[in-house]
Amino acid sequence: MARSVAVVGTGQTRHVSRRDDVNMAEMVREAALLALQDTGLGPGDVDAVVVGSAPEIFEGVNSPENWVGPAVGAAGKPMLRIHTGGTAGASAAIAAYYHVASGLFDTVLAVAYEKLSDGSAQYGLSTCCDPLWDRDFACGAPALVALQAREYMARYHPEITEEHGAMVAVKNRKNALLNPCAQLRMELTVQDVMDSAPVASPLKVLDCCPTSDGAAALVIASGSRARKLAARPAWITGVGTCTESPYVPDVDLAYPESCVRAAQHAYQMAWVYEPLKELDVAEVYEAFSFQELIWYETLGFCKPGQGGRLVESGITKLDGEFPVNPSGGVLSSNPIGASAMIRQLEAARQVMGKAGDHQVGGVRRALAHSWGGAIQFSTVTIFSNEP
Amino acid sequence: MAEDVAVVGWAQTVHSHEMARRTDLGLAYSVVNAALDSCGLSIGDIEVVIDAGSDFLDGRGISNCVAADALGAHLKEESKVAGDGLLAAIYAYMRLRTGMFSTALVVAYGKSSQSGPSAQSRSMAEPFYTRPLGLDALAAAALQARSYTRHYGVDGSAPARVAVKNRAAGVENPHAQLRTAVSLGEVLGSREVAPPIRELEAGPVSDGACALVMTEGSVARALRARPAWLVGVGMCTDPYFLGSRDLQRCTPAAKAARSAYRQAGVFDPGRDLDLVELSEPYAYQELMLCEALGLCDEGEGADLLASGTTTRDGGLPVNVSGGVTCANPLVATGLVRLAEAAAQVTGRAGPLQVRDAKRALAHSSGGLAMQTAACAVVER
Repeated sequence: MARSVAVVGTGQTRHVSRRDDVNMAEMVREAALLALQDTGLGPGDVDAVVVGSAPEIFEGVNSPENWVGPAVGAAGKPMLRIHTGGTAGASAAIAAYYHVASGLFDTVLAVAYEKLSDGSAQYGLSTCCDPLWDRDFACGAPALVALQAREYMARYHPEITEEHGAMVAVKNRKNALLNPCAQLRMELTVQDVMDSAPVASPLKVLDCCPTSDGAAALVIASGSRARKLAARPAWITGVGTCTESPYVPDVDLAYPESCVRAAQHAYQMAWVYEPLKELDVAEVYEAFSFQELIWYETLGFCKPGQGGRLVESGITKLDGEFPVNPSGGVLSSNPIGASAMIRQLEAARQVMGKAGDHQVGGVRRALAHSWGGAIQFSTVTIFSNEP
Repeated sequence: MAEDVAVVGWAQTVHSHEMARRTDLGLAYSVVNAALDSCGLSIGDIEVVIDAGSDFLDGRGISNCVAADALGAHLKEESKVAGDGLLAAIYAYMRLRTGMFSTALVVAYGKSSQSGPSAQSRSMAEPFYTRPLGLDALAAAALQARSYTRHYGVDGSAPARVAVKNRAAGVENPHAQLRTAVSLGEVLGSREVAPPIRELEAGPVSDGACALVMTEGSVARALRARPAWLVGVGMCTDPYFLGSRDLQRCTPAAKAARSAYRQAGVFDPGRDLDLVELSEPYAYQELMLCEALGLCDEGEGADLLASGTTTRDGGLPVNVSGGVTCANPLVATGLVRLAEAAAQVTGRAGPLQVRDAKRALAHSSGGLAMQTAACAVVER
């Protein structure tokens, strides 16, 4: 039987385009100390450390956990690194969940980070492709997501338009104005997005996330510890991690099955049947604006093809009935390996009542989602105000 | 109450230097199929896939991205541990213990021949202070070997004797890369690659893969009359910088073993274990690890070796497979130790079988000069 598990402390750095004042390990330490302070614990009170980060080639350090882990207090303790591309941060926190749920550990620190200014993000992402098979054609993440957006728009033509993507960009960047840690905090119009420079059609500059330096940390504890450590823990009541083939002909980019299955797993665990009614807020991984519409559908917030209508309706705005990405989402900050954990952190804070200026009222259940790899890894985590 | 977890199937490649005709994913795919076949399951029976991979070794960012199909991960609950495969097995163990899943596949693979171990390990040094020095796995190990042998006054020929013992054992191992015995004179006469480490005291560069099938108790009992029960695990890291560490002792291995022993009810490892499979890319490490794992007192690794206890016919055989001295498929190395241990306690180790082996320890290490360690105890 799995034990009940909760997030009891959270910490994140400000996410900016370049941190010159710290190295990678020091940056992660900032987030870890904030999370520990949040719980009143010191590094010595932690039983194990899980590190999450995306391709090592971003920073050029192999086995970076050996450097980063001890910097956050892992020396003398169990340490594990999880690396699943964009989902790494969430996969690391989910691994920390299993550390505790298995009964082997009581208090685990999960950290995730990326210092993208140390290298070139799109070059690094292009190395994901096989060198013999398809690296010659690789051109970073926007090219793949442009295919995804095109396929999505074509399938539901004329229901989904470029303006729908722009609406997501406007909504999330506006939410980011209330998030002091966000990198891009902008008041925009749909027209601003439509007029911005093309990157890979239909994606324009303002449809795309920035590259960021940043880190996040979560303190995850067993039920009995959680009640002592936090007045309102964010109970992890559902988790799902699903993977599918990386090759475009094998998968449905406009409706990735890995996301549907990860959500099913998490919903079953958390007894969620009607997500839009039973959840109060969601943080989804929309590295590109159109993706938020697709995740509305794969996560079951609306039917396939209805993503455009959902964003048009205003329900997912900060003052709507079901806010999505009140923090500003990945469109506002993207330290890649950390971004999936930041979604969890923001969702957990909503449940804990600690989201600050972008707090949504009366949150009892929140969802965090992420994708990674060739749009092939998906994670879903559900946080609740009771176990 | 946590679920019982067992290892029910395993497979490894024949490890070899430079498998020019096979891709790394081809190696992984072959062991996935063979491990499933070994316990009569098909990929459809698997719920969880935990794989181990290294971006630097693969030469690909997000190593499990294009590898997902070959690893059997399509539409599975999958996650990747960046590090040795034994860590992936420990993560799979955690998931199965919760009772939320009943079957898991653990896969680890590496093709070191394509990059060379020095390039691989040099990039582990952070770029500001240590990388400009050219610190790599061999240089760090040499510093540690010097520190250890000087501190305890270990005879300079002791590491060579480890190599002689393990190379002799490897002759019987059908999966080993090096299957020829060497004499003490040959090892002592081999070139010093980084003093005090000699060429024949270092494990080879190997391409290879290993996969394990793990299940919860009821599935294990249905599949196998005698599964290998995973009864204790441990992990630990030392500080990163060599100057912050006690290089004479392998503290992380000691701590990881202590955790595994506590869970497994091992009180006196010398008596309660029937064999040990440990990771010794450099021969001196076996001496240090025997001490850290509690098989003898501190500084007495060489005496334990001289007593013959750790030979195949001794009271506590260490590396009857020939260990890492005979094959070092990076990333898979530690998982191979667990596969060997599981084979031994279930009486399926073939020519390597240690008589009446009931309980065994598998160990892996990572980082420069054994910064990290993982341990697992399996029993009949």
